[in-house]
Amino acid sequence: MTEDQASLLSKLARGRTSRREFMRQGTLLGLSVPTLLRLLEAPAAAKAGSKVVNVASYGGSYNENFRKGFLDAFEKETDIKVNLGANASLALAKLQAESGNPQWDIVELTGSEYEVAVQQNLVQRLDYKKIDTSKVPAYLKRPHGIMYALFLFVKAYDQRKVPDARAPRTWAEFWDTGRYPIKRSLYQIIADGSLLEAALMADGVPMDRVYPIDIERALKSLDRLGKRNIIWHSTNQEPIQQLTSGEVALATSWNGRVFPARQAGAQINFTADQGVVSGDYLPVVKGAPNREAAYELINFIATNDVAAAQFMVLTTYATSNARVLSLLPKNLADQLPTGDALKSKVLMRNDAWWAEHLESATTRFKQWQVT
Amino acid sequence: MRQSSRAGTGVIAGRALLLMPFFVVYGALLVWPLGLMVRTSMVDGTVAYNRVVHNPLLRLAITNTIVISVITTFIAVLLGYLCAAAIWKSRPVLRVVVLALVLLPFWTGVLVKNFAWAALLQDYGVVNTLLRAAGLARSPLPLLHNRFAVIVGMVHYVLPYAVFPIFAAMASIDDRLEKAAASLGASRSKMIGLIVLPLTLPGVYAAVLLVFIISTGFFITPLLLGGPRDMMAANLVDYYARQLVDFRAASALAVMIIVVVSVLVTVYQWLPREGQFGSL
Repeated sequence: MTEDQASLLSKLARGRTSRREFMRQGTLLGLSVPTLLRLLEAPAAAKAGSKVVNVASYGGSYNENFRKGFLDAFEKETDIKVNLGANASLALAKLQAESGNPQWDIVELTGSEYEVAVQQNLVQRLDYKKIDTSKVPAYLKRPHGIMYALFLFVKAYDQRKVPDARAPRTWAEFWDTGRYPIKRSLYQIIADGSLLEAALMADGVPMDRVYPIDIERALKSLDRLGKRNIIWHSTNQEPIQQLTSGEVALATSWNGRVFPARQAGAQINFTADQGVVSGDYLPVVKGAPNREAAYELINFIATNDVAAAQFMVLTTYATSNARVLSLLPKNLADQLPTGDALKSKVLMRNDAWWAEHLESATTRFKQWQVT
Repeated sequence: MRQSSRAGTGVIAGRALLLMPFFVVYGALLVWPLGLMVRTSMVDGTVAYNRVVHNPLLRLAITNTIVISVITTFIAVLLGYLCAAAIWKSRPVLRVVVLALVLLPFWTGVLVKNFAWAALLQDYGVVNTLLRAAGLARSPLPLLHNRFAVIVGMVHYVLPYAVFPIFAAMASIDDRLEKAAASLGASRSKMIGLIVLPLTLPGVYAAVLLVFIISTGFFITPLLLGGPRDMMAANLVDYYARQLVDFRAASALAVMIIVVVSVLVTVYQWLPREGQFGSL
């Protein structure tokens, strides 16, 4: 890490670097001369017969940041074109794998979806001879994928009604209807969010005892909060919209959703303590036609420092490249779920538990919701 | 009918040829995928059906689907009738305006309409703010995330489907009938009861059928405007397909919905028609 690199990263952190400047400096810093020459030869459009990899992710601002952070740089460096789509889900991965002729090589999956996909044999074992994982912590590396993006399930609040000084620091405070006599918007897709975990912590269960989840105790805790104090949401932009429109003053959300809304001027914020860390994988679908290109992309994400830094700055999601963390400005590193400041204050989601109890937990929760 | 069968095989072959595009399109886009779905549902015999039938949420979803669809159909057809009558009886310029008011939401995406309703109905939304400003409510009325909101959103969506068939039936009424009735001394209400209503009943029947079928398939409106208790059948299909990725159970439930709705529609079509009322 040279001084130039450090200054580029800190500029990135402040959001002052345009993409062009980033590329120019990036070229000066890291890219080799052959890469540079290839860059000059290859116009933006992919040449016929050149390599591609088709990636399904979530669309919207996430896709924009994914592209700006990782994919643009990857295309420049490798000359492999990435077609980025939206609407990734376990259902899509399953349809793709079962079709025998998948159109998407990589379908982004959440941690518990990844476990189910492995169980149901929908994704390919990675060839780790082609992927350098020296910068990836062991707990993020799995036979069929690397957890490449990590985010936090947090307590978000409307600063106009709940000033920062009175913000809920624990789930017990978030639950306290005396302290906040207002409605909370909660994420009802419990297999994706971590509502049951939050409910247990609100009931006094220490972080290291949350798993295995006692579903009935979690539901009793939710009963204590009271259904009349709850508005349910099922998409990730809803809580942001509900907080900014004043429909609710507290909501469960993700750090990476609150952050861009704040940057766009919304007067909302979140507290990270007792947040639940979950993450996404980029697994390769069984029978994917562009397997080799997919490995190259996964390798790039696991190894390229500048791209990893750019991605973390843009999204405030942590990435699997743990080495970059120490190179980021402290105020940003402290916000990331894998950073030293938060590491001991947050709970790592147990995806294996969820994969095993997906059906029983979601069915029981739905039943509770409707009675 | 008789004549055509005497007309020789050439004509029949020609007619079959003319119907070919119909069979191709319906076969490829409807029958084939439906067949695939039925096959998926039966991959392991009746196991998937068993799973669905024993889901404690099934009864709630079915009851909700029927109750919400019936209420929506009733309100939409009633409003649709009044709306169609207004279009029918208004002068050309006004007619275009009212028609545009019906068509504009018809061309608007369902998500846009649902989010607009959410903005109107939420605790600190337009309606509640106005009510409080006018002193009509002290605390916000619960207008969103309940059955009321679901039905409002659904009626808004299906209203054009009620207006058009009824309006078509009205437009085909010979206006000399009204003059004849008036010349025989019929009052306005008698004229509506004896002439307009019976003659527009086919349109009403068509509207009821169309609106009910569309209502039973609602998915996004109960999700966005309703609460968990307003879950409809399509939401349960989604729960199987996307949350549990149990495609077999999802297909089994979808097949069950199609069968139930088909039976309801068939029974409905056996009900007495305009002929019986028209001959009063």
